[in-house]
Amino acid sequence: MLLRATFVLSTILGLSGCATPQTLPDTANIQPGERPDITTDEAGLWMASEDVERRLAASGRVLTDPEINAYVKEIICRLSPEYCADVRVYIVRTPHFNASMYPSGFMQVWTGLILRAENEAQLAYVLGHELGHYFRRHSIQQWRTVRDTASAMTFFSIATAMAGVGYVGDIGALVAMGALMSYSREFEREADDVGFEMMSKAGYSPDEAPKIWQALLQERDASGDPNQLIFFATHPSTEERIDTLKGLATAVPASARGVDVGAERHAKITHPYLSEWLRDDLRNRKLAGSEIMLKRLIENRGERPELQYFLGELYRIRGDEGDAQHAVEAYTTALGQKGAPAEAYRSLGLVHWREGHTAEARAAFEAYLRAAPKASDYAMVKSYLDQL
Amino acid sequence: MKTRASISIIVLLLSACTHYTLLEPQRYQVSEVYSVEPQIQWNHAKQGAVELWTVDGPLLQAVRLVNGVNEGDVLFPVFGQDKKLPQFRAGMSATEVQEFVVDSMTASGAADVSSSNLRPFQFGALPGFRFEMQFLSADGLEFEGIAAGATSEEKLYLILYTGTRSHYFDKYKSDVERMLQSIQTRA
Repeated sequence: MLLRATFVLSTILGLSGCATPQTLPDTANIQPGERPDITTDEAGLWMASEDVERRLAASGRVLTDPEINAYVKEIICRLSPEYCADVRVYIVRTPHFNASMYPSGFMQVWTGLILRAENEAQLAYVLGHELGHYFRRHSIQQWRTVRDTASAMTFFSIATAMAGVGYVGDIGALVAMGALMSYSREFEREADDVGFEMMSKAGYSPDEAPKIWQALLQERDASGDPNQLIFFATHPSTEERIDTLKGLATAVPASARGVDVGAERHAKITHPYLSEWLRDDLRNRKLAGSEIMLKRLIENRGERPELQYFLGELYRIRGDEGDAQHAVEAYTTALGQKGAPAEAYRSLGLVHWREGHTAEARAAFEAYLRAAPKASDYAMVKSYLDQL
Repeated sequence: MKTRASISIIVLLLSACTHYTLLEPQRYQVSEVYSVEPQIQWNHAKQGAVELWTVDGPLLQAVRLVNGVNEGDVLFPVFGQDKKLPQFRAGMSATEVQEFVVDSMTASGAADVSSSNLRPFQFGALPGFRFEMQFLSADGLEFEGIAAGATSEEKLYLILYTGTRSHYFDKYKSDVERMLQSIQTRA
């Protein structure tokens, strides 16, 4: 949804940007505890946002575990203590790199983003970016810009058509589609600056900010698809963003330079979700990017059998030339590490079976049945032995 | 998310404007490969290789019969999305077919899809498999499901029964179980 709405908005703003140089409207930052006057268009925007929030809360996609929620909320409060009470965070189980901030103070953070952040500092930078949209009231600025320009009718028509609904000219529909949370590049640059400043002031290492984009750039390039990651669709070019953030990081004086990276804390908090999120990522079938991401996780987190297991799963699912051997190597590495999932034996057996390696397949399936005697698919795997 | 939900409803459950006919509880030839006894009257619609049976509406409960999935085919095409979808590969084991089904449902908009109890199942005369599923709709409604299938001549034949955990799955579960036991494959 966000990708489509994003495309619509970037198209419209891109066209209008050709005619008239864009300047940021002079809108005051939102103040802690502030709510818009009920008679204003901004109040309407908030009501629509609160409706989206209620739907999201009931969707069953939101992680409710207190520890990881507290982790993300603590980062937000560290970034902006004065707005801590105003911001509500929802961690949404979706395997894409994305986050979005709504004008009423609720923020979606997708699990694909948390998975890809190598440490707390990188996550803090992205959360700060989203807070920047909130502080600077970008949604209402976006709405007023669209409403007051000649392109408004076109915007409504295309946005609603792309979303598969008829013409809708009200603010609530656009909020529901996410169209007003897909910002112009100028707003994105401003949010980048705010995010960088906040993470830097909060004591996080500013050198981590460009690293998350460098990692995503690798994933995008590996996929060969410029829209492989939703975040790239409207945001400033990743190369530009990396250069800008590197420059900003270099300019931070040593006396004010934070050093907190938080890699261990991030790994510890996210570890219970690692298998679930990696499985979700493979289900997304963007395997070239997933391969880059998994190898990066292995490099950064060291010996984690889950990581090698899912790398093996990736090769088994993809099934390109040479992948069977890569899968066998990854499963074998996983099984050599403490705490390897029993399923690695089963998958190893499946690859050998497909390759016609009967003896190896039999050994792997038997090992699975020994390791998981109460597995719910015990009878099925046992039947594989009869078929070998 | 509303858009994605709409897509999933259209594709996974077939659209509300699909033309239905009444299917009587007498032996019915689903494909060239097998026939079943439907047990009760179902509203019946067909779209491509997928048949849909329902009594109370596909948003509440449905049997989908997917006939002859070929190498490289997807289970539920997601129109208007450029995302890569899971593809069937000839020679898949039952474990891999289970993975294919679960991943396809996820790609179609179902959330938190899990499966269990993969076990051998006699699909008529064909050695097949079955398993159970649980998932959430895009709006958070809890569903349960049963999947049973087999491959014949490198094509996948799949019967998928899903319904809301509250009431509608259980309402026709026993009829579906009897229907699965009634499968007859051609010699």
